Amino acid sequence: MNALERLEALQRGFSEVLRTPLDPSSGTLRAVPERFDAGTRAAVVGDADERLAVYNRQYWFRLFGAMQQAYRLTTALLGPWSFNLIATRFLTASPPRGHDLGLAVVGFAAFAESEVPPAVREAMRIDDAYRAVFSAPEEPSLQLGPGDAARLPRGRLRRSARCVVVEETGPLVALRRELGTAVAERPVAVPAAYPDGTRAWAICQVREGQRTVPLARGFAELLELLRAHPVADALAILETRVPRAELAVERWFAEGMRSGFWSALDDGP
Amino acid sequence: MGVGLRPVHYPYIFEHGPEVGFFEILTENFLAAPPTVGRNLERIRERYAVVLHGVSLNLLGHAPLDEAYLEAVRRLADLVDAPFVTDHLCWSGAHGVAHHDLLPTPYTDDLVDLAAERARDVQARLGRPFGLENLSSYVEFRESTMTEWEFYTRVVERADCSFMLDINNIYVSSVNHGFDAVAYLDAIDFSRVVQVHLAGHTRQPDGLIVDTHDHPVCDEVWTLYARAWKQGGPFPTLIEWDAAIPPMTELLDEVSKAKRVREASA
Repeated sequence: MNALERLEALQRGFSEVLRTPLDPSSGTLRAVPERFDAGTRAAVVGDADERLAVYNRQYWFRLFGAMQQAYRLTTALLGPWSFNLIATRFLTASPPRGHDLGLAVVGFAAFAESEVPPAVREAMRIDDAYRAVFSAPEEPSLQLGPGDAARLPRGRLRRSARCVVVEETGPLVALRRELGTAVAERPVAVPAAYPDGTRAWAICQVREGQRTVPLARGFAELLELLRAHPVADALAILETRVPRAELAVERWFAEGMRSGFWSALDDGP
Repeated sequence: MGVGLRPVHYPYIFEHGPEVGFFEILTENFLAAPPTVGRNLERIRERYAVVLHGVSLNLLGHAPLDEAYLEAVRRLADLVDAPFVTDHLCWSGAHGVAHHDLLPTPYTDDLVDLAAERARDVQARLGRPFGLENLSSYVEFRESTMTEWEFYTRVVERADCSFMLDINNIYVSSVNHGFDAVAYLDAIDFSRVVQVHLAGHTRQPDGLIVDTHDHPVCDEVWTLYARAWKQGGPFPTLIEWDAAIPPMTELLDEVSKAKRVREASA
């Protein structure tokens, strides 16, 4: 065999060692060297099992760390133990393929959806929203000038990729903000659901960081209508759905501009 | 003297402008970086030199080097006008899977040839000095026909590139594999050292040392550093701290300590 062929064989066996799932049966996640690739165990000098176990544990805990950071709220609700077990199944099925460790999490929410209760599904969507706006390409926020007034009614506001609307049935966004950048060490109780239905938030990446904007019912509905209709049409429909006393359209538009909800005003329809 | 740039330190750096010679960035964190990250790097670059340190080159992977990755590194190096770029003498992925770890190979003649040819190619493509870092490792292979330092020095010399000499890694591997760290240092041609890394590590109850970069530099590594400085200084030195990252002031204390060690050994 030439050098590349020998490397290929070595790396095939070593990769299997790295990716051998840790065993949860003892109540902690333990390396099980007996399950390691036999050729690699034989190729290593000295106490191969214990030494290879170091690499095996490093592989998994590095990935768990990246996933828990990206899914902080989800980890808190599931607890790190349960989260890591689901993450193990996900990463076994979809090992990371690129140099960006942050991308190792892509596809996790879809994978885990059927394995977690509804509140955790909601948490995954919220975690995904924070990640999405952070990674979104920079684009200038829409700034309307005097010349735009005439265009506005028939224009369509283009939603910025740096701003995502999420809905929650209980105070999950507040819980995520409370957690900060820390990863929970044990499960956190799922907050009680709101007695009066859902709440909506806009999560926006602004120059100073991330802004979380509470959306009144009418505001959330307006944002949804603006995705499908020119501004004047959206407002007309909104007035048929939301009591006039609850409308604060000027304030909402001002907040939307301040938080960068939109990136452009396109000519309609 | 430099330190590894970590986002948690941005506020301190922007407010206090600490007196360090350069910052080292983890290359992969800035390839196609989110805009906020890019803006912070621009601010750092306005005042400090920035060097690139990668972990995904996969120089000794069985697959050919990733052309797109190399091109992205070149663009980033050009963007920050990096005086040099470094990565590791190791493999980090195989069969399309990225392991996000720095993994050892046997030390053999034909792998010297392969690594040297690739390192030479990388340096040419980057158009600037390229330094190879020695690994800390936990295993050695029966197939090896030479010591780690023979392998390392032969690759660097044959590639006509530079040493990115990690003295903590020498110490970690010397304990884990029972070799003489001083013999390792003695084999290094310091005229080729582009940078030295210093870092902390964790000693397991069984005596094995794991290269965790989450502690201050230990006394034994300071002693080796003093010897290296006497042997081949001056060279740029960087304090690495990647986990359980302390306040910037603590990192700066390590920088001050390195300066004292250098002065004492000069």
